[in-house]
Amino acid sequence: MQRALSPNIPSLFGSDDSQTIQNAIAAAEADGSRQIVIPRYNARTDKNEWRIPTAILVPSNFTIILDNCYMVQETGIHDNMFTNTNTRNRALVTTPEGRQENISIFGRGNVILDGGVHNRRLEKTCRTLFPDGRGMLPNTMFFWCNVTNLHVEDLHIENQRWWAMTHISCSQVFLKNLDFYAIPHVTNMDGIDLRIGCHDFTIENITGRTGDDTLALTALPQGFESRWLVQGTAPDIHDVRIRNMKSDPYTQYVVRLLNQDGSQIYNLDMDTLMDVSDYATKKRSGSCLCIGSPHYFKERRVKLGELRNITARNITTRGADGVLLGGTAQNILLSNVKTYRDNLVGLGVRDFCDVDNFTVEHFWYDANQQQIFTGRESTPETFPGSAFLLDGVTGSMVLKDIHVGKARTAVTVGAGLDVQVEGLTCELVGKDIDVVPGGSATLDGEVR
Amino acid sequence: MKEFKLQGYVSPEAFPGTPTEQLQKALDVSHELDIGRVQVTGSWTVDRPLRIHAMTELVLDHADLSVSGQFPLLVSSALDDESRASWSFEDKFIRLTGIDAIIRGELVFYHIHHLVLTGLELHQPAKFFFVREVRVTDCDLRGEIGLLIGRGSNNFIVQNLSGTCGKAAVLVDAAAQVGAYVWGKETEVHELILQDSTFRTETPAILLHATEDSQIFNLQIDHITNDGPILHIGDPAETLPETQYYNLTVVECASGASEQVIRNNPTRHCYFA
Repeated sequence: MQRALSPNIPSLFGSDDSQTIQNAIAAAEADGSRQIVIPRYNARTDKNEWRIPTAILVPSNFTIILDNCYMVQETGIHDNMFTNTNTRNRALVTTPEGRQENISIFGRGNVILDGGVHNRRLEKTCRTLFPDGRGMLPNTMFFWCNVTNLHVEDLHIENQRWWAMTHISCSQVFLKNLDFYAIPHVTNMDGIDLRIGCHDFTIENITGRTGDDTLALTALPQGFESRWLVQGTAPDIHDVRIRNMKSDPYTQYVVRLLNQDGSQIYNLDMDTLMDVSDYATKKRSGSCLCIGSPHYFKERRVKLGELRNITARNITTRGADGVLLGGTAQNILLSNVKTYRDNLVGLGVRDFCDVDNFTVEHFWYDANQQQIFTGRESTPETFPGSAFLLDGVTGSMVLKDIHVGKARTAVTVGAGLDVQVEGLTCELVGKDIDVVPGGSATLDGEVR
Repeated sequence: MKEFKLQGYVSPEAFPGTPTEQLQKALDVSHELDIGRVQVTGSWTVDRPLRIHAMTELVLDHADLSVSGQFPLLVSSALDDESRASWSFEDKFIRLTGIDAIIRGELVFYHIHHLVLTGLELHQPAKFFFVREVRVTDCDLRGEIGLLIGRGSNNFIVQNLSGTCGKAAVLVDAAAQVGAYVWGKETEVHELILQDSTFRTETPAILLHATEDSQIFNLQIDHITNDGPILHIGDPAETLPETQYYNLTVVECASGASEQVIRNNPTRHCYFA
């Protein structure tokens, strides 16, 4: 097997580091090795850094090894750090013929990828300040479109300018051992985004701090990404396996699921989600897991059945809502959920959510009911938080093996919702089950 | 100097002196020149603890490291300087990468952010104090204790371990501390994921010891196999409030013992299935 080429070969030097690396990629394609290694030392500049002014275009059947290196996006530029080659030709990449495959980016040693100095391109201002028609996509560090069999592993990413990783119409993707560090000085510093048309992902060991959602699965086919959806494919996101998400998402979500306008999200298996938001910052995360939303639609709101078949187990969070619902949710199992410290609501809802076959089992709610700034407690009737605040949820739900520490109410059931509770223990609550007129609940078979 | 930069690592053989002096010089030069990697092969015996610096990957490629006395084999350089015992002065990005590597001395890690141990056969404990964001993977644990996760440590992912430890594969001890208390860091031990590992010991795979002032909380243990129990909580000689062992999960484990989880102390909000 041929050795990986290094861009430190003088004959490969270009006018800047991106060009140098691109020359190395071309040479590795030509000699058949199809592999380059980017080392720590940059012989062209005699520095231990690689400054990236234009995106590195990655061809199919190619491996890039980042070897103990530091790579930073150049100041003032508006481009990705890595993208697959066909994204430069949107007419091609949005066709089945434009599919690329077998792309790997592996970190070896201590690899740091840095978004550098922000270029002021923000979601709210990009069309006015930078009317180049490209929107926000230039600011995503990794942009993958229509790629199958993609591996990205063992990287530390800092200061992303927008979403660190964006995937549109990608499949068979393996994201592993990725660590983020973002001080949220601008909005929308997500970690990983799966957008329309993504399926068959395995995501494992994602850690650190992001400035927005750490992992967002967002299927909005009427959004900007509609121009990037591969022809003839569905905009749905499905068959995603997630294990060990352990992050601080600032005020947003460790994992967020969002679909509207006829797209679907289904078949998700999530195991071990830990919200590690820093208590000392006095800002709780939004929630550990946000399932759906009634908003963000353009033509029509999500229907029951379009967000379905989701299992999420082993969740730990102090977020404002431990788990947050919105829109619709069908065939959902939440198992072993623990909330603590300044969590407010264990399972809550944004505005409204229609549910079907929704089960929560082994749930511990242990909010301290203290005011976050003053630390004052109050009486159960005036506690700020409740374990299950389901006013706005309609449909049916089963709650099994529920343990509530201190709460205003253990379970608040809204109109149009039927809740069966099997096994409820409460330590100090104002009311165990509060049923709003129009709702119904049973506790261990007895009507409440 | 340029040769080190181009080859991407420093080898101890490049320096004169005793084996200890060679190894320490390699670590120091790697740090000073920002090479970022020290590569060691062969057998080495040190006569005093080695100091490892920030932004260093120590690659042990078919290497066998041992000590000539009763002292650690490798320690964090921050341990030498009490003025660094503050949140702001963490060492960052330290890795020990083994390829058929045997370590016969203790490893002591203190006040580090981002630490990775992988591919090591550990005959003595690897110890962690005020360390955060740690991954330990694909290691074989052979000592009395495999890993000691001590005071102020948090955010660990520990996967794919094997071992035959005399006392415990993983000891989580909130009382254990070396070096000065680090200002700005909590003393609790929390956010630990321990999974996908097989141990062959009659003693518990994982031991927890909290203290009155330091909780152990938010622990996820799954897919562990052990001849003995999986988890042992607390010390029978002292009883702490249940809040000191808090939000613990043990699921999908297999134990040859009659009890998978032994509770010598009350616990709060734990799920053992």
